[in-house]
Amino acid sequence: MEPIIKLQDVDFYYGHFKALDRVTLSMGPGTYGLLGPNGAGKTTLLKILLGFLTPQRGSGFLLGYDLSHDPVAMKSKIGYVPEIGSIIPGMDGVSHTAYLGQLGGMPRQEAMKRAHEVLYYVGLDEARYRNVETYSSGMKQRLKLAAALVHDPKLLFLDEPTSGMDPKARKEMLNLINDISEHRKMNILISSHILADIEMTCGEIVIINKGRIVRREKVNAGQNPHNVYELKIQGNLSLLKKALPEVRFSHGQRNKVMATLPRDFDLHKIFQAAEATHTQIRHLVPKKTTLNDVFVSAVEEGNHGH
Amino acid sequence: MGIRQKGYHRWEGELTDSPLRWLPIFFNGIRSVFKKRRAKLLFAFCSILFLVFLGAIYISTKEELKMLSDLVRVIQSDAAIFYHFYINPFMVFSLILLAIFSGSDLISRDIQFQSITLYLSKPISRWDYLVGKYSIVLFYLLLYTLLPGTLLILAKIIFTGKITISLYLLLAAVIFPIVYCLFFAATILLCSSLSQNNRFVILLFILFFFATQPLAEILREIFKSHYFKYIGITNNLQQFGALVFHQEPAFKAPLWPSAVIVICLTLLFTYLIHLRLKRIEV
Repeated sequence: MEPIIKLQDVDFYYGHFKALDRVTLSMGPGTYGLLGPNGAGKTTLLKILLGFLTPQRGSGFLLGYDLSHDPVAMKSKIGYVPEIGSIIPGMDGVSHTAYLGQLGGMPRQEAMKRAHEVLYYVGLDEARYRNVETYSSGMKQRLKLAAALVHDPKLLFLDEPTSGMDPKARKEMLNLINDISEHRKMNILISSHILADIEMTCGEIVIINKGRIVRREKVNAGQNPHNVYELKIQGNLSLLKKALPEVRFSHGQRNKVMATLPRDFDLHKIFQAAEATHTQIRHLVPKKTTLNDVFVSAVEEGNHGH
Repeated sequence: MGIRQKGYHRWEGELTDSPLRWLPIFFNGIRSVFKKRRAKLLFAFCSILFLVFLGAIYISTKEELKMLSDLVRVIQSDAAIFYHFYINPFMVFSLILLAIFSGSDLISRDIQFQSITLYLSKPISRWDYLVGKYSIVLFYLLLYTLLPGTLLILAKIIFTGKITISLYLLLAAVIFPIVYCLFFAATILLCSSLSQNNRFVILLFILFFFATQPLAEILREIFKSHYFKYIGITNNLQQFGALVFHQEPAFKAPLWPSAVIVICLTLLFTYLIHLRLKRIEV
């Protein structure tokens, strides 16, 4: 299947600071979560995909459009929900949404008709004639979602879509995102710090750290696809670490140690290494990894890699 | 307010790919300015000059009103009509008011509400955005310069029954107000792009026009040279008008540097606005 997003060796610098370092990424249809710690390069990557910034090296294609040469034409096929602010003041909800539809290339009457529909869809129908400056944070997020959906884009970018929302509004927003991706067959890329949001809405995650893509995983909550085990040991952990260089150890709660094993790793090797190093293994259970574990391990991995 | 199924469908229409992507910005801006409080009052106030000139042209063309001809002797030629209409202090004041009214918040509010991100996420470049904003201010400024200027000439033709305007003057009468209004538009939009605070924008704009005049006079007095009058913005506009319409210079110095100053400042301001838009975090 033709990828929606394709980046090859993309670099981006702010002055001398390398914000993106040879980013290579291919994303097919679906809903993706973009995760990363602060300053990891998430926003820069998003800006490049949105055509706000041009890659300084490498190439990028989005829906078949070249990001370096055709960013304006590409924008009619995407929708974007920015995190903060970003409303056009002095308008009511319908005019605001229709105006952005027109800017996206829709004829005026079609944009107006469609604005009513999408505002109804996101649950702002009763507030559509109110001035947008009087909307609450949650309503503004919905308004921005309506404005991003108005021209029926093929790919939707959501930057912290539940930012500043109360739990009820957040749940409704996540339901909307799920509905869009499942029933409207729209491709979505969500950038968020809230891992629970990503877990609830995305089929796959991409983790970025220090400008590099460090992990790409299917979201599969409650399972152990990452080969993480919880250990309790008596003896010298350093010796065990030396004996098992391919295993990554990290400290867990209550004197427990987390061991991330490579794929297809034979568990017996741990016992053999323990015997060789005179270390007792008193507890060894597979850990049900959460997205948080995946995120932390990927970021740590990225840090060690540098 | 949950998800609503009813009424939603995929949009099957065709998106247009017009080179005039800025047109929605123009139409929306025109509506927004017209909806502002006291808009109609300002528009009526700015029309006064046109009505006065219309009356003056009528007087100058009618034999039976010869006793009043002294009042209107400055507009005896077509070129003088345009010159005195465009460069009149009341016109400059009206254009300053109109520029403030239509353009002072055009970019500053977008910066304040971070709307530029929304614009740029649509198939619109920074230049499209800028052209859209320019078109709004230009529309209102030209509505009170180019349109009444043309109407005044038509009125003269109707009152006298003969066409006296030359081709040069016709071109000058169209091009001069465009350049003249572009200068006002560039200045107000540059001020608007520099701050989120509308009051500061207005203050900056007014200072640019009114503070340069006394400064030019002070320097002229100190150094006893007319060349310091080039510092005054309205002086340059008068000289530029005198150059285009072949009228007496407003001060004793060559006319062409004023035209260069006005045109170069317009280009420089446009470049600075674009630079400012590039620097704004989206």
